[in-house]
Amino acid sequence: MLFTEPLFFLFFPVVLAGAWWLSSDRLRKLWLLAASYLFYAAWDWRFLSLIAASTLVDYWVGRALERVEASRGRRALLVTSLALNLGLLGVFKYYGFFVESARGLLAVLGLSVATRVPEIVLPVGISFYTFQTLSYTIDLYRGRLEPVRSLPDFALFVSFFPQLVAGPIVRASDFLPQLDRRPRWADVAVRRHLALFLIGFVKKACLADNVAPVVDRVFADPSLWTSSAVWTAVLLYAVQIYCDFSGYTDMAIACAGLLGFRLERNFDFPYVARSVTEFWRRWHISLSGWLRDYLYIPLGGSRGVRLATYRNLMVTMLLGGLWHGAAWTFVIWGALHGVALVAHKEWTRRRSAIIGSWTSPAAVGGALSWCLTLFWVCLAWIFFRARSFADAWLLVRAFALFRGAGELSVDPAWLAFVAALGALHWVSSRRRAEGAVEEMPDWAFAGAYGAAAAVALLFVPLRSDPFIYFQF
Amino acid sequence: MSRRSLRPRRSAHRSPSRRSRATALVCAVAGFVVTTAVLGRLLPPPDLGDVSDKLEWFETHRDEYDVLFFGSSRIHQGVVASLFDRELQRLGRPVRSFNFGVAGMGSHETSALVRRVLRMEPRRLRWVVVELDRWSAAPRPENRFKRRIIAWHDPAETAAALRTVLLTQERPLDRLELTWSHLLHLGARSTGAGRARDWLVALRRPESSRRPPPDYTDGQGFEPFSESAYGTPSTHPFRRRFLRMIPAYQIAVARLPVANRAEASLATYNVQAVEDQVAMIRRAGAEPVYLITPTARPTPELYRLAAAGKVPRMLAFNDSERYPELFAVENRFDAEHLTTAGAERFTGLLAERLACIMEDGAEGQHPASPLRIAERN
Repeated sequence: MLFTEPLFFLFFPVVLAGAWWLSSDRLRKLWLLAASYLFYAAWDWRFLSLIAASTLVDYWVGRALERVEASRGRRALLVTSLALNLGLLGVFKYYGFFVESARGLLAVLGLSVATRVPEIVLPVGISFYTFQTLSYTIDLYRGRLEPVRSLPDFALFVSFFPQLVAGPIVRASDFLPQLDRRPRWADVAVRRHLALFLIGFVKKACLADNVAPVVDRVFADPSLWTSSAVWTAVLLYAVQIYCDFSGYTDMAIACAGLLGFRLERNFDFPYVARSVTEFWRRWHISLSGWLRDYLYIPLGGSRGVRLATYRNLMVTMLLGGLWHGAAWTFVIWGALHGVALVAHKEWTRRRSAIIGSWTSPAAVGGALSWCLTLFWVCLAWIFFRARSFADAWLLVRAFALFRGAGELSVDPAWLAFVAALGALHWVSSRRRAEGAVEEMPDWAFAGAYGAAAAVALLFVPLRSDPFIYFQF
Repeated sequence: MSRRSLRPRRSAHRSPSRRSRATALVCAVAGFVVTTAVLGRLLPPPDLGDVSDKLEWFETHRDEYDVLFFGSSRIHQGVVASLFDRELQRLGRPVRSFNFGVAGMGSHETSALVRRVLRMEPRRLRWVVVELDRWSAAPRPENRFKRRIIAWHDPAETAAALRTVLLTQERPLDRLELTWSHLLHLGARSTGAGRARDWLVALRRPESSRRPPPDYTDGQGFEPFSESAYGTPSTHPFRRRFLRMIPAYQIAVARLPVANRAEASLATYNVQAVEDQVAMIRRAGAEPVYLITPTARPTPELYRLAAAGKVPRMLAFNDSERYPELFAVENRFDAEHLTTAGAERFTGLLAERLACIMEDGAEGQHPASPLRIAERN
């Protein structure tokens, strides 16, 4: 079930009504848990067992960590949780990748292995809920969190449907305390969440899904297209992935908010970033935070010597790339971001030594940084989206060296569309309009909302694509 | 929206009264409905390919035709309307006919199209010939959410489709899914979902690149499924498959008369939809004639339908005993369709049978038809 699917518009009001109507807090949480499992089962009920297994094991580990004080025992419990969660991820997401990679490596060494790689279906959202449960056990192990007493509460934390399949990645320390107090409907910012849902809907259904066919055509066979067509397609893909993913999280935050839960925002106008470091503070914030706290800092973070910091950054970004997908193209995507982060750190450190006392006007410097950042981010998107290295190379040649391999072109009106969206993105990042929503009379907000929904429907393509981040 | 803005604020503590909530709900619905209605008036009609072309043509020539043919590609590429007119002229009954058949058109879509055409109030119209087939409740998966499928989901036809769903013998879950699918199509049609594309295309396409308006003066809606079409990518696979399956086809044709006489129940057939269609055509001042096209598919339930008096006039051509020439391999494009030569032969036979009906209002059932045989037995 997608947030943009008509079925969700039947499902959610029922869940919402039930959640606020049930007088017992315990029943309310059980209701939400049942709804979350139903939501997931609508995709494939068989994989509920994976969520259930992950939930039970981490709940048990949490309770055991409370009792066990010996560091060896605690470590064994942590390893159990890591083994299960990463094991599930390894089997369902990376098994084929590792086998294929090993086979490729052996072939390079002149050894051929005839292994049939079984086709394993990737359970939707496994990367997201695995990271959530991992954060819980790691925080418990570190003594930063109290274990959850109630199994249903913990199960709801793992499976809470608004963010179950594509994030934002919720920390136990943020979510679990919200289960301890019953929210009041009067405290819910209904209008803002309704508005946020509509904004997310428009981003996903009206923008991302409409540009997807153009992007798909170019990426399907890059050898057919001119350099300008590739530029258009890459920029459109940047639009598509942002609108798709941030649209999803907008809707997730809005749904959770209407149910009385607060989820942290996951995007903060990433394409206005003036460095890749800033980009990662604005893009998929919950993932960057997770990688920082559970990977980069444990690796040593920036505490060691400079080279160790750069190594930690690269390892974090390479694994971050691999988290997105089981393919080497994702690893390269992560590597490109890692290189940019290292370069930015190095530039920041040596800037005065390189350019001396020369200073450019702030606007010029800012514009240059922005252009360079956007160019690099888009270049990296090529590897994120391309089906193979061969395709990626053709696209990079056309994008970075202006050497398109083919003759076909894309309607230049799409570039105007990208420019208009870019301007809107920039303006929105500077002038936020929630105040207007709050100050409208109820009837005017409702009427405008109905009218806006009617207009949005006009732009919904009749066949919608699943959310891009569902596959991760 | 900033992080802070999503947290509850003091101003949000105002709990709206039940009345103001109801007012807001009414305003939201009103905003939606009014905007949908206004946009519906502003939007150009959706481009439905052949359906739009034929409707556009007919709108300006609606008072020129006495006979209209409706149905699938078996009509579109099987009834040569100009030849039909000449044949009837020869038989002393001058008429002008138009072929409204469109490839891939099922019974529900046909019914919706008939309704649209009759709403134009064509003054000369006397006979509406409709291809009789099963009423399928499920559009093919690849056709779901195609513009044409959405377009036929007007309230009347959606109601008929839901009735078809009720009558099918699918599992309850599948029925539920079908019901949901039809309701979604109705919703998409009513709200204009996805229609902005038509608007943008119309705005961006220069006048010179627009498709010229169709001219059906010669073909009168008929399009040959000719030998020249064999090589086209869309038709080639069908033709090739048919050529591979000729022995199986011949066996099916040989069995057809017996198969058509088999016991059949109308319990799962949407009889009501046929009756409604008959009434609709008659209300428009025309007479319905139902047609079973010459295919190798047995259709005993359609004969049962006629025997039960649910269709006033039925011309059954899927009778390989009576019309062997229509089933001869050389006249077939494939198991479902005729070649041009086959179409001409079929049109000639159709003209003769229809002339009889026009002459004396006979039921159009040949004495040797499987139905009669079944009744005698």
